[in-house]
Amino acid sequence: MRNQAIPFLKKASSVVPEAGNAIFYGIILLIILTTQIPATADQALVLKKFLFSKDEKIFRFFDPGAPFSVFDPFLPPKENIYFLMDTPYSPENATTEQLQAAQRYFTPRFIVPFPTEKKAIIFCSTDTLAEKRAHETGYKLIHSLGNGKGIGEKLP
Amino acid sequence: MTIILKSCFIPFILGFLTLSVLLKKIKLRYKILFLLGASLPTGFGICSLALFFSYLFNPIQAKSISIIITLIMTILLAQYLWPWVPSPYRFPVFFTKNLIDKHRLPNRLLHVASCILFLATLAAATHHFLLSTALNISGGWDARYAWTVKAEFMFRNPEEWRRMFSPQIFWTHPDYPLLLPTLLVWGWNGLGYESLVFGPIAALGFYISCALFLTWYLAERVSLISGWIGGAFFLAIGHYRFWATAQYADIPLAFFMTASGLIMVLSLQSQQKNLFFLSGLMAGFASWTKNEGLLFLLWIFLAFILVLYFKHRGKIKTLTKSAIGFMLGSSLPLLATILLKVFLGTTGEYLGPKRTAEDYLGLILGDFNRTRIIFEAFFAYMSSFELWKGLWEFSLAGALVLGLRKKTDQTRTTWFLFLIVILINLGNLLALQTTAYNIIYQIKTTFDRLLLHSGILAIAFSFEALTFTKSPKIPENNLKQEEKF
Repeated sequence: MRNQAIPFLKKASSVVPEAGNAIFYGIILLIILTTQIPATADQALVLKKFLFSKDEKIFRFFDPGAPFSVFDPFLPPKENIYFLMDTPYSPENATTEQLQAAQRYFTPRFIVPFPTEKKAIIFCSTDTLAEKRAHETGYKLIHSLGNGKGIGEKLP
Repeated sequence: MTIILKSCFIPFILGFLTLSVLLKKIKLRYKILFLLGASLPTGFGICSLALFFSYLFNPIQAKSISIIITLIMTILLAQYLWPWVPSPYRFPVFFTKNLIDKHRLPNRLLHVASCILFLATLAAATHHFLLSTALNISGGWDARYAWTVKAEFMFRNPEEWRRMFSPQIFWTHPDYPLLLPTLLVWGWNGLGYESLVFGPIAALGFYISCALFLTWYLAERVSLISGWIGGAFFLAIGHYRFWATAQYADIPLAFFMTASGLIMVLSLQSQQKNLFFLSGLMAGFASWTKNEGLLFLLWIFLAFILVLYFKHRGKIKTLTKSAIGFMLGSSLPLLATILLKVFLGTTGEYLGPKRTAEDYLGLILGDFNRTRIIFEAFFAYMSSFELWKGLWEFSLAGALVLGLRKKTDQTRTTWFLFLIVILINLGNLLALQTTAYNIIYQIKTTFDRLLLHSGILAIAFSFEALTFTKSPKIPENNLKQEEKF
C-alpha cells in the first residue's frame, strides 16, 4: 500500500508547482483582461491631436496662470504684489489656489498673501466684497476690472 | 514628435551610454529591455544634476554649461564604447538571441501571446494617459504650483534663481529635492520656451520606464513570459497611471526606488561592483527626487550591508568593496540633496518644526492613537481592489509561499525585495507618525501616493515568490562572466 502511495505523492508534488503557476497567472490574466480604462470626455480626442504639434497655443488657455495676464499691464514690473482675497489668507482656504496660480504667472515677482506690498491684485467674488476687503486691509481700488477684480494701492 | 526628440534625445542617449558602460562587462539576459527601461530616467537624472551644479557654479551661463557638460559626457562615453559598438557580433547577440528564447513551439506561442498582451496594455495605458493629459495639461497641484513655479524662477531669471528658496513661497516646499524642477528647465532650455507639454512627456517617460524595467527584471529572474505579464499587470493598475498623469514626483521616485532595489538583488547575487554602483546611483536619484528617497537610501544601504554581513560572515573586505561601490554611485545626487538642504532650502516646513530628537522619539513611541489610525489606513488602502488589483494580497501570499519553499540562493535574494518593501512602508509610517499636520488630513492627501513607492517592488516580489520554476534561471556565476563580442 505504502509503495503504491509513493509514486502518487511524487506525481502530485510535481504537479503542484505547475498548478500553482496556472492559478497565479490565471488570476493575473483575469485581472488584466477585465480591467476597464475609465472613459474620458469627447473633447479629449480632439485636444490629443494637438499635444505633440509645434503650436502649444491651444493649451495656453488651460494654464492656471493664464487668467492673471489681464492684471499684468497695471502692475509694476519688478515689485512684489499683495494678493487680496475674499477672506484673509489661510492654508486650508480653497481660494488659496488662486494665489498660487497668480504666482505661477508673475514669477519671478513674489505674490504675497499678507498686506505688506505697495500694489495689490484684488481677487474677490463681488465688487462689494472687494471694496470691503480693500478697506479692511488698508488698500484702495485704483483700477477695476469688474466682478470684484482689480488693482489696489496701499493707503499711505 | 519633434518636441519629444528635442527634449528627450540627449537624456535618452546619455542614459543609454552611461548604463552601457556600467554594464559592459556584466552578462545580463534581455539587456536591451534593461536599457530601454532605465535609459531615459537615468539620462533625466544626469541632465537634472548637470543643470543644478551649473546653476550653483554660474547661473547666467548655466544653460550653456549644462549642455556642454552633457555633450562632453556623451562623447566620452560613446568613445569608450566605440571599439565594441560596431562589432558585427554585437547586435545579433544584443537584440535577437537574448530577446527570444529558443524553446518549444507552445512556449514560443506563449511568449508571443504574452508580448502582445503587454504591448496592447501599454498602448491602451498610453492612449488613456494622453487623453487625460489633453484635458489637464498642467497636472495636479504639485506639478502646477510647486515644480513649475520653481522651474520658472530658474528659467525666467537665472541670475536670481535662488529666490525660489524664499520663505515668501513657503507652499512650494523650499527644502524639497529638485529633480523635477531642474528637469523641466532642462526640457524648456532644449525647446527654447516654457513648454506645457514637456512635463507630461517626462511623466509618461517615467511611467513607461517603470513598466519596461519591471518586465526586464522578471524576464531576468523568472521568465520572459512572466516579465511581459508582470509589466501588463503594472499597466493595468490605474492608480499608477492616474498619478503619472498628475505629473507628481511619486512615479519618478517609484522608478528610482524600484530600479535601485531590483539592481541590488542582482548585486547581492553576483557581487559585481558596477551593479552596486548602479544601485547606489538609482538610490541617489531617489534622494534627489523626494524626501522619502533620502530615507530609502538609508534603508537600502543598511539592509544590504546587513545581508552581506551574514552572507559572508563579516568579511570586511567584501563589505567595504560593496559599500564603497554603492556610496560612489549615490554620491553626486546625494551631494546635490545635501547642498540643497544645508545651504539653499533652509526654511522649508520639513525642517521647519525645529523639534528635538526627544520630541521625535516621543511622537514615534508615545502617540498610540495616531499609530492605530495609520495602521487602519494601511489596511484600508492596501485592501482596496479598485486601487491595487489585489497586489498587496499577492505579496502576502508570496511571503507565505516563499517561507514554505526550499531555500535556494534565488529565494534568499527574493526575500531582500520583501525586506525593502517593508522598510519603505516603515519609513512611511514614521513620516506619518511625526508629521506636523493633522494626521487625518495627511492620510487623506498623501497615503495612496506613499504606497506607490513600494508597489512595483511588491509586484516583482509577488511574481518571483508565486512562480514555481524547476531551478534558478541564472546560476550565480552567470552574471560574473564577461560578455564576449
